[in-house]
Amino acid sequence: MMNWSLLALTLFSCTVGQVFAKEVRYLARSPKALLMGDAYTAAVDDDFILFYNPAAINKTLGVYLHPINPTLGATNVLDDSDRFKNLPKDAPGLSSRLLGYPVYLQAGAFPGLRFGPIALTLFASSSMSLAIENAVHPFIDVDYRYDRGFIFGFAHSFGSAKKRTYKSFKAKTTAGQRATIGVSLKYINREGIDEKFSLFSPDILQRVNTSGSDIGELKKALGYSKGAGWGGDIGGEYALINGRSELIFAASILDVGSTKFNLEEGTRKIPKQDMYLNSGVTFKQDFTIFDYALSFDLHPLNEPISFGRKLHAGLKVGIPLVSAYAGFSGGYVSYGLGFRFWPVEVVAGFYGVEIGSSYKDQEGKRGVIYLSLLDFAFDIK
Amino acid sequence: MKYRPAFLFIICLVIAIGCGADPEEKREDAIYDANRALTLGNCDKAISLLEAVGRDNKNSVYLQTLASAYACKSGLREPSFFENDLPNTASPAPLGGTGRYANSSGMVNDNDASLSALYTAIDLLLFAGGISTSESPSVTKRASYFTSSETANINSQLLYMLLSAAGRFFYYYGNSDSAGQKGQGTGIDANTCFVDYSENVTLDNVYADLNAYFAGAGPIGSCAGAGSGHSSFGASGSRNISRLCRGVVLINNLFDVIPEVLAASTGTDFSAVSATTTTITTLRTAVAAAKNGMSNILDVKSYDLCVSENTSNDDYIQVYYAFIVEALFL
Repeated sequence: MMNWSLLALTLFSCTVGQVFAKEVRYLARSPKALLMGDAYTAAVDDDFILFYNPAAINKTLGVYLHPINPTLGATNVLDDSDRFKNLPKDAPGLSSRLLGYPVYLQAGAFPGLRFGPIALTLFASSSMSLAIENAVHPFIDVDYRYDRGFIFGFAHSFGSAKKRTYKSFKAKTTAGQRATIGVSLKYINREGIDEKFSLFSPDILQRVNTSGSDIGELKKALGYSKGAGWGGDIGGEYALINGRSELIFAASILDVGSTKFNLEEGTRKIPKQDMYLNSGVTFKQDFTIFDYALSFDLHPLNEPISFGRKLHAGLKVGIPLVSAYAGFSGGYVSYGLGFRFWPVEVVAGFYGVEIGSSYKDQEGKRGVIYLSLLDFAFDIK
Repeated sequence: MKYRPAFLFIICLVIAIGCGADPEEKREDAIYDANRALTLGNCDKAISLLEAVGRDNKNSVYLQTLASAYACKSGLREPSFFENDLPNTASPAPLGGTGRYANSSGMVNDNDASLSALYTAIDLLLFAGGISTSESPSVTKRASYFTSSETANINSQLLYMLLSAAGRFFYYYGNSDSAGQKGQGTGIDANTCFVDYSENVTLDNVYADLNAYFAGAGPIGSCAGAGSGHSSFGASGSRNISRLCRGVVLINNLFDVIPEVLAASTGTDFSAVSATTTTITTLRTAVAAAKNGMSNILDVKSYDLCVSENTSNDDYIQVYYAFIVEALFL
């Protein structure tokens, strides 16, 4: 009993009186998860398994290939479209129009393969956050990342419950329980700029001017650096299965010890990929013509952020061809729709993310769209 | 189950290691939050957040944010200053237009809280890097502590704050009117000069004394030497050196910073101050030629140092005001 108290006390001490003044930046997020409040540690079962929990690989038997799956994300300009009309080109105009308004762009692709207990995902993902803050002396904060690499994962299960086959993916499964542990190894090549520029200093203009029209020189002038590093994840999952119902508990530690990068180009420090400890539970039922999943997450447990920011809850409801997603992530709602008719799957929606320090401090309003083409799965006897 | 205590201990250890923010992270968090607070115009919150984590003289972004938090209390906002005030700087020339800045006319007494806050902000950047207040800061000294980019950012922010402070100083102590004309305002003293020069300080070369200088150079704006000075600066035998030194330090630091900002600027944004350096150089040459031993006051950029060097002898500060300050604000 005392041991559990110790764990509770440690978790609580991490959340009291702490601030963490930036967005929690995971290596990648599933668009479906984002629309489900990012409550996905236990619920994950898509192309992004290795970005959540390597133990989740072993949910199914057989082979699953997802070769083409681009994602695009951006600030939800529809919510404030007037702000972008006739955008001024001078610094005073820009600062007055965009002061306190975070701009976000993301694009990526995550092709991969699952083959029984092993999985491999390749990834190339670029994201950029721009924010102008401080009405007195405006700073433009640029956080640009371009990550490329792969993750290789392996999982092993114990227990009586058989794994699902792809053929019976949406059908009744056998009753029982199953515990799974998983590990993954990743290689990340990261390029990025993480700089604050004084908007009314000639310095930023001089950097742009001296770099000429060469985009590579411009990136260097703005403080671009490049490096590579190896990292690892571990995860565990415990599933209770009864007919059409599944209750899954899961936990994962992503980027154990934080993934650090060796500088290969540039002079600035490359932002490390922080270690995040995640936990979640999901309950789902599948009645073939109707299915739903309820999930709840606490993550990242190890960051000094308020408890509210760690709360994530999500709901997915599906009928043949169409799925609807809704969620709550750290105080902000998300919602979206998915459509699947082989060989195409499209998911799109809107979500909010905390980009400030405390609970509901500053919302980054974003939209995401995901397209998967030609994914296929088959069972191996 | 026998492994449960060890398992829990490992989990607690992982969490405990991960959840603590180190001092650098706390400072970064404070900077982020302070900038957010300043976006919303909450100056006191920004100051409180940044002061709570302790000053870091080597972190340029921290210093710039803290300086902007104090400048926030003075009403300075760089976007509007850059767009509306800066172009007026040299109209009337050389620096009379600073009296036309939006915030200049807000200064109505010696203990103006907004100007005090601006002085605090200026000092934070002048002495950035850990330069002692008992020595004169300079662009060169700051460059030894920061990268060229960080130094450029500090200098440009300093320029805006120095000009804004100079505008308030000139408007109030120079009795400026809304057009930036010295001695034409409706100030409490109706003074025509900054300083009372009736002591008639002796000069060593070119002119015999200040009376001769004013007679030879003619009225400098509204100031013909025999005119009245601002009472807050005191008179013969009771000069308020600390107030007078504020003006000296503002001008000397402007002279130091303007060329650096101009060198980094490629457009016409700073054209209003482009001739200022030449004007100040001419005035410095003239005053150095007229009175021996002016180099100390011409070079002093630390308020503390200026006060300590001029408390026992106010002749140099009178000559400085007569030749330089009166001529910059006509």
